[in-house]
Amino acid sequence: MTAALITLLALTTSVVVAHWRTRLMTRRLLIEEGVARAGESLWQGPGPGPQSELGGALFDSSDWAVVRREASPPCARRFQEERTALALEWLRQLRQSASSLMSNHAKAVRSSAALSVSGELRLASEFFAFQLLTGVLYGAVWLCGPFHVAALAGYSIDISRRLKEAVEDVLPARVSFAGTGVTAQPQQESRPAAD
Amino acid sequence: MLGRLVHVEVEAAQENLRNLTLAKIPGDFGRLIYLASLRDYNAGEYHHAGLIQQFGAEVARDAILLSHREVFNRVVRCSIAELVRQIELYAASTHTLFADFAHTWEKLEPYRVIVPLGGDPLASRLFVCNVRAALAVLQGRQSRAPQDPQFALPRQ
Repeated sequence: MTAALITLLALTTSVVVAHWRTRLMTRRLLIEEGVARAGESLWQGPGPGPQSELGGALFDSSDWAVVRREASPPCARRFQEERTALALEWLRQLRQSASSLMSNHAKAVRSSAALSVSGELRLASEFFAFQLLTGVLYGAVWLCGPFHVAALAGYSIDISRRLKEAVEDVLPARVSFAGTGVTAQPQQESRPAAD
Repeated sequence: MLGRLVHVEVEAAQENLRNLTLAKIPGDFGRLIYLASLRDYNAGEYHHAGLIQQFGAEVARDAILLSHREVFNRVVRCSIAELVRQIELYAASTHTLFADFAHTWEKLEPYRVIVPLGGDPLASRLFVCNVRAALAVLQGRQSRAPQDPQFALPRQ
């Protein structure tokens, strides 16, 4: 009985340590990448292509299937950790873009005479849904890695597009939505002629 | 007007590069390596004698940079399975024993310097991660089938 208890305790400790080690590795990768990014002055230019496709590639479970099946276990583990760190970074950028989109929109609304309450409510609900979903997605990626949550990531991209469309509908503003690769085109603001 | 003219010229130079040079290289991964090899390590500028002669230095430089980004964007978005196939194709074109190729690439990590400048940092990190994984897959296949001629390409 005591031996079984000790074995159980040892097993639990091993699992907890292994889990903690994986999380620590992911955290280390995130910190390393953050430091590297801070020094990448050459990378300050505009992105090369649609980020939504990058999101699709990051969460692609077929990649994990190939690597797990054919690469050595340490390589597969490293791959999963790196992809987790990248997916979390991608999500952070997506959320940051949405926040700056809303912040710019709020600034534009303050100086606008044409304020639509229903439009603003719709926008607020889209933003709330987006924040909620990406928050859940962030937690899911942190816990299980990016390869089991591809559908949720795709849905997040859809919601971010809807959010951008809602902003355009309510009040067009020049905002680049880096997370989705979508840029809201600037439009002439119709203001009443000053007498 | 001048801007549009330059744009047309750059497009023509890109078309020229695509049809006369890149089309002869098998696979986007090989094309990516070729395009990166046209870049000066110190200045970061591209040099291609034929294009410079035909279109001028500035247009040639812009055309190569745009082509480099275009090919990189395709490679970074392809799946690991496709990337494995492309690296295999490239390794075969170098006429090096795959074991030597894999060892050198693992140690020197030359794929880090084939990323174009001015792109998305996240894309470049994804690229490095994917190439490393693709190499691990190829090495795994090699260790399972050491006698497979696919992995023991004869030196020429």
